[in-house]
Amino acid sequence: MSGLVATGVTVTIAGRTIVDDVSCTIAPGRVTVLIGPNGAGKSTLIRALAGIVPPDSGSITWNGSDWFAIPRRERARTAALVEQDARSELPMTVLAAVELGRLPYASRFASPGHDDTRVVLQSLASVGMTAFASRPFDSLSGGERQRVHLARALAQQPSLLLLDEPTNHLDVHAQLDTLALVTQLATTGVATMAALHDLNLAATYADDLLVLHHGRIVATGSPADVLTPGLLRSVYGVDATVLEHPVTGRPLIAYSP
Amino acid sequence: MTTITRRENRRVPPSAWAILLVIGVVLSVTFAITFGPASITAGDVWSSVLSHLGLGASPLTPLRDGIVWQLRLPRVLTAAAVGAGLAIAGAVMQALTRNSLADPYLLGLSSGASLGAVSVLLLGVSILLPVAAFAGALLALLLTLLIASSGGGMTPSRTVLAGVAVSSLGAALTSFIIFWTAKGDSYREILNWLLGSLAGADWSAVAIGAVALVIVGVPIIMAGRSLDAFSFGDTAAAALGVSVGRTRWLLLVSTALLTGAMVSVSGSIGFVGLVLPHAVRLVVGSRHRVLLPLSALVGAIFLIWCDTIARTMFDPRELPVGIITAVIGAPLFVMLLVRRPAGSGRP
Repeated sequence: MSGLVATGVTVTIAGRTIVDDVSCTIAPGRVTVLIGPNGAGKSTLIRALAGIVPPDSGSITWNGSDWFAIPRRERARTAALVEQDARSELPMTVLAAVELGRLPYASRFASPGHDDTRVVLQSLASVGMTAFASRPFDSLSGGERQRVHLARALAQQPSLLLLDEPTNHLDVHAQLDTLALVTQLATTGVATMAALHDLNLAATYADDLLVLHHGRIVATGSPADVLTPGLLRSVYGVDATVLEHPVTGRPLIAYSP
Repeated sequence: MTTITRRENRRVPPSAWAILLVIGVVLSVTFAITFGPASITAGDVWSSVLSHLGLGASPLTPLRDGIVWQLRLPRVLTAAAVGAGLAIAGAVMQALTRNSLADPYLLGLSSGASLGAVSVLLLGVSILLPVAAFAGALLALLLTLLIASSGGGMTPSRTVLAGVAVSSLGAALTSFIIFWTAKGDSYREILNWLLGSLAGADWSAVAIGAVALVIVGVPIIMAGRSLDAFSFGDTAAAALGVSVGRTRWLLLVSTALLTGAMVSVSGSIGFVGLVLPHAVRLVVGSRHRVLLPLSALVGAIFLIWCDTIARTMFDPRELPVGIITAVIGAPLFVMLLVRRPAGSGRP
């Protein structure tokens, strides 16, 4: 089975079951979007899938082999994680922030080589941030910062890209911009999962939707199949009408007060 | 792409900085020794050093040779080692706690180390001085982190406040022990431990500082790239393939060890670990493989001259060197505090 396959994954933190018996697949070249209310367990699931938090039970495999049996550094060469608006307290340049993505490839003693520099510059170019290379990271706008995080993820040359609410705190333009970049990356064959809050963004950019509620997957499928008034009522407790987007043909959710 | 390459080329490369700074340390050692009541020239310093290394006879009188070899050289070398060690410790703590205000003095490590050292010296607890100082530093660090992380997130401000509390307690206990047991001038003794002094530095102090730098400092510098991974937090570090828990504890314990060794020979000298990594970061950037060794070299030069000012400015009276470092460091601390945006420093 190619891609990342989770089977019956359960994560317990301090005696509370946060992720409960989740099975899902992140397939190469597809964008899987994870939605669910606050506290549904999205971040914890993303961390488990990224290989950072081992599940208490269940299994995760990458192209058929046990994900947690793969050495840590090799996992970091396979999977990249983008969090929501991660900031650094200490000053660093955009270039240095992207260079972090080469750490999983670094030997303890050697300095970064020409290959590393090439990959870093390519990653910066593919998110359109080349001109910002020597700017201080903290001087960037939210959208620009998220582009740099994406470039860092790209510098890891990942086959699996996980994003935890990458559009939080971004303005509308930056939200669309970030997700357009992500879907463009997926078309190069990267297995991609993003946790998103905004259901209309999820409907627009998802190939597959996963709905997480109280740690359990309650619906999966295409946006049109999943985003029904009934589901929105039972999971989010809201009344909504599901229309068709006049341009994309995707579901368009109109909430009723 | 070409603009980046040009920009990077225009900068002085780190290796050139390293060479310049090593020369700077050698010159600082040489010329700092010439300052003082007995007039010694740079030539005198080197003939004394060479004669003691078995290379030629010293033309100096035994008295002048003793001033160089027994008094000023060990003191200057101790200052260099302590400055280097504290600068490394500060840079590591800033990276690990993601806190630009972190420093072994501000987070209470130095005060804990002083307490440990003083307990050994005056209460006759029979363990080696640097070991006791290390234990004190480690306990203080654990206490600070425990207080900072309990009841909410470990924000930079909470960490510094916790450090202030631990630091005050350590200083009070240190003062009490000295006051209760010291036979001579207990006030001077208290000042030396709380504000730092290199007045008592001899060759054994040089040995403690140098051994700590080699055994602890060098491995920390080698781990520099793992430290880079912490720039965007623990989760980001884990996603870059770093074993977060193990790396963090190894480095924090190493920092306590380094601080303990340095405090055991100099008392708690403040702000060296705060000021220098920030200054060096401005010039060479945030990569720790470059930042740590260069901070160490700048730290050595900085403390050599601070100590030279401390012992010569009001000659024949001597200031605790911590007064000089605080005069320079405290305004910078305020600057960092003011410049931080209100929303920054999420855990």
